[in-house]
Amino acid sequence: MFLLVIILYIIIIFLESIPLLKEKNRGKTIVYFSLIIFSMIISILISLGIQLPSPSNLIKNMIISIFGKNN
Amino acid sequence: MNNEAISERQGIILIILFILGTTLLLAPSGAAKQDAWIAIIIAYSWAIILLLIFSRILSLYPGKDLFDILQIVMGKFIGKIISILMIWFVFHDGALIMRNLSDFTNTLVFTNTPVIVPMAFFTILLIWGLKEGIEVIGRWSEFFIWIVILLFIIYTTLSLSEMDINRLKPILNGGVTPLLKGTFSCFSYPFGEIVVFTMVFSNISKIKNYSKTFMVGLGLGGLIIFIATLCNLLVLGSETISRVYFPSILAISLIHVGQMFQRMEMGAILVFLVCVFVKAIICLFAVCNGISKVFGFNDYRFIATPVTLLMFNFSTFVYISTMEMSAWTAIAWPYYSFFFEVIIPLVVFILVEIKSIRSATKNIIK
Repeated sequence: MFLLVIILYIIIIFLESIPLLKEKNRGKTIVYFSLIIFSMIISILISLGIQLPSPSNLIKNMIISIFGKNN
Repeated sequence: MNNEAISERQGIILIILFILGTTLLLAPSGAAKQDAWIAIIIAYSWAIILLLIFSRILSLYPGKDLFDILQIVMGKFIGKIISILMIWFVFHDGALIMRNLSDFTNTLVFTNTPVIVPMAFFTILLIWGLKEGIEVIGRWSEFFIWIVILLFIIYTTLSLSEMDINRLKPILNGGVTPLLKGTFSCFSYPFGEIVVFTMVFSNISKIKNYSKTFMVGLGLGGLIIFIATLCNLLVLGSETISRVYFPSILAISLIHVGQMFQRMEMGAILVFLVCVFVKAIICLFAVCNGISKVFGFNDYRFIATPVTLLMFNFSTFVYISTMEMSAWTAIAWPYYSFFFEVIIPLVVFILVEIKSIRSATKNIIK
């Protein structure tokens, strides 16, 4: 199943990076590739079923610690 | 990118569809029980003050959005850090919206389909809309607002036979405290989220009068939400609303007028999809705009795909279940979003006013 995710991402990268590389703007290429590789890693982890830590727990604990439980 | 512009009318329509967003389906002021309609009126009056602050900030620096103003007023480094905080808030908000839509699709519409299938189509539409630009979205929304309003009027009129005014009584039964809690939660969602529009209205050259756009949009959007909440309360009663995840669909499925007008939920799902699409794409537009401004580019279209895919991935793991989402929305969301929607713009407003007073006195001294 995660092979499908990898294939999909490679197709997207091929389609999108050709006009981007033609522009020859280093900053744009670096930002784009770092974001898409980060997104690809998270997609692969989700498709493998690994439970990623969710920030909503952290925020809820922060708010309960500031404002008290029965707010 | 610099020659795209939306008119005032399209800005007003975008604000209306944004406010309608997910609130037509969920019930934001559930804590106030049967006084939710009073809560919305009070929250609307608070929101007017907040939106006047936003329009004042934007009109002092025409043609610039919140990220530019933050970097001008607070210096580059602190401005970029606070921009990153605001980008994170809007990103989290967008992930909540997509999670709402995927829960709704999974629970009510396509129960046996894996939830990734309709969400993948939605993601493709979002990426396509972002690459076309906000002008296309403005023109599209100018057409679809009429469908939304028409269906809304039809549903409200047809559900008149199910209404019972005794469900609104007793008024102020629990005292003022539940009413204030409901007002606070209704103020931060949906009215406070209009802060996203301060990050969007940058290169829109046709809007001369920001306060008129914000006020008219808020007024019409607030009116529709007020009527929708009142209808839900009158048809269902506050006990049922607190037990159901999607009260409006239940209210519409109770419509039973003659042979033809039964089980009309499909129209409500269409309305919901249009509003959620506009809300998600404006949030994504703000995030893409922010990321490109923080890194110093003036083009936002090249990162549309990774940001949308990231938001889609994030929406799958941000909550474990629908119950956790309801609990989080009731407990943590009002306080968490109050910081980003009110406190940061208030600080920017004070700094902007100090700067303008100082430059005005400098001109007088010269």
